[in-house]
Amino acid sequence: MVKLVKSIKAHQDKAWSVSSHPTLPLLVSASTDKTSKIYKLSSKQNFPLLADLEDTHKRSIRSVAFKPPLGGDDAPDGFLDLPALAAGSFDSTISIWGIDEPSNEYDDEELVANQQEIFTSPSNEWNLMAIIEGHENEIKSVEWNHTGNLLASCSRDKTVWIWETDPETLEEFECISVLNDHQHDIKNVTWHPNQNLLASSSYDDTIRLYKQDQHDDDWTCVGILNGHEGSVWCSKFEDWASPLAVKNRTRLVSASDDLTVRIWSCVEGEQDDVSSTALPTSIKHDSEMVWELETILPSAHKYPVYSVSWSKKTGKIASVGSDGRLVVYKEDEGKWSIESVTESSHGVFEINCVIWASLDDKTEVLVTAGDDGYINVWEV
Amino acid sequence: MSDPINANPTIIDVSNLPTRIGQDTKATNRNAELVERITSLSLLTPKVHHPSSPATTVPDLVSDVDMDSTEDELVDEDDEDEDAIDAQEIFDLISTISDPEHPLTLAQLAVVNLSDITVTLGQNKNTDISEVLIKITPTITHCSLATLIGLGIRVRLERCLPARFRIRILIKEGTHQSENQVNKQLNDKERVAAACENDQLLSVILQMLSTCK
Repeated sequence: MVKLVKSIKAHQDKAWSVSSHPTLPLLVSASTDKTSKIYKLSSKQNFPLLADLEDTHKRSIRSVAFKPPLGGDDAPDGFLDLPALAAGSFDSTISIWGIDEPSNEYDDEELVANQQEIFTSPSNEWNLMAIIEGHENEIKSVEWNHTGNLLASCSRDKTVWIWETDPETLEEFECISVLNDHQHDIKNVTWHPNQNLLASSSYDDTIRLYKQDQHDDDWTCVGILNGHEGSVWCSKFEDWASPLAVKNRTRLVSASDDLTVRIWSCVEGEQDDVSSTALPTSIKHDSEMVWELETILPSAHKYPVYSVSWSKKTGKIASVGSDGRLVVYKEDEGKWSIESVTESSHGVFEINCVIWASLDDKTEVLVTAGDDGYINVWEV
Repeated sequence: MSDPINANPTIIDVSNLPTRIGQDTKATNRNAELVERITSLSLLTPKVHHPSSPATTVPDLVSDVDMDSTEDELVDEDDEDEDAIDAQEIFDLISTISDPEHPLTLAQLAVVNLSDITVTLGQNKNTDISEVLIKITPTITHCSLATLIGLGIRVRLERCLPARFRIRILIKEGTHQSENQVNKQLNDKERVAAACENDQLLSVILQMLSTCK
């Protein structure tokens, strides 16, 4: 059911992470070989390499993320935004990369009308725009919020940092919060695709959720998800646009070293009732969220599950891990089942990352990154 | 290093360790041994041991078995499992790693033991994902070097074994006070990958591996 469309030998060593641009057919990868590569997600053009981002990080690049376009991915046609990305490294720094506005070749109208072609052309030069320092040691994950003005990063130093920037210039990144709620190494940060809600997954086996306080604007931990019996490697929120999303319900899927993939949910109406009856007003926080484990997905992995991704288009979930399996799950009337299991999807190698992405012809694909240094593109 | 953490460990003599290394030479020695046994049947010749024969000291797989059958069995097994990796091979890869604080190997200190190595091969043992489980026994229960030793074993095996092997290193139950903590760190691929990019740490590990055969 899952078909390999393309296998790209992108790196000389482990490929740790991939990210796709929300509106342009661009893919970026990160590797132990200290480089990031940008490819065009076009099967007609055979996935050409557009740029090789090198000579910047001193150690492995662990995580990459494209900045969502200004105004979010539902921005109206005719909106112009230059693509940019963040890369987080074991050298404890984050690099920000972008392209210059194409010179006078095009007038504004042409540019807007043809941005998909122009911004994915190999003639664009990708430049280093900023280096962000602050973490004490290895950065494990970086991710932008849906409007591209906030960047979250996490590290073995047990902290999550939130950086604020002007998404148009990306010149300055000001740290507006350092969250030190976790007890250990933090593996992953992820933003809700439609609101400023952040989740972090940790070596301490928990997931924490953070929101900005309505009164004093401070970022605070508003929820903690206990249940995994091993490091939590990754988590992803369900998009409100997903066909299976329900109003007032926020869901998160998580992948763990305990071999399980779990879905957690927070229903807003319910939450008010619970907090007003269960908690005395003195310790009740307006912002506190009540999360519950909704389900554990049917068991499909034999070794740790490293990455999980939730499709905005179909509501399906994909997971990958150390066992080399690429697993797709679907939900029918609230019940989850395994749609397909693809064995040895990177040969005998471990798979570190899976994402849903769109090709230039709008076909939805899965993209995986493995210890073999390959990036594989799959049609579902 | 300053004061050793375990100043007085128990040491096993190298010749008492199980190994398959150098078995080819033993095969030739076996001929000498054969001659020796035959000649020793003669009342006239006093029983002498070939000086280079390890047969008397090594409790090896081949030394004490009936010779007629052994030859054939060994040949058969070799044909069948040409590349199949077993516990003995893993032991031979890691037994000569040096302890970070003693001029001794991990096998001499009984930190690694053949009986604590389990190899689980995939359905097709030469191509499918397979597993190696190693339980290490620190010489003392508060050994702060347990993580370093585990890391050394992991680096050695990651470099020597084909990519299909998933390596799991655990502290033997009840032999260390922070067993779970050490286990978790040793089996976290990201932590291991990051540790191996630390030049200082890597040089200590390479020093430990420099005695490997």
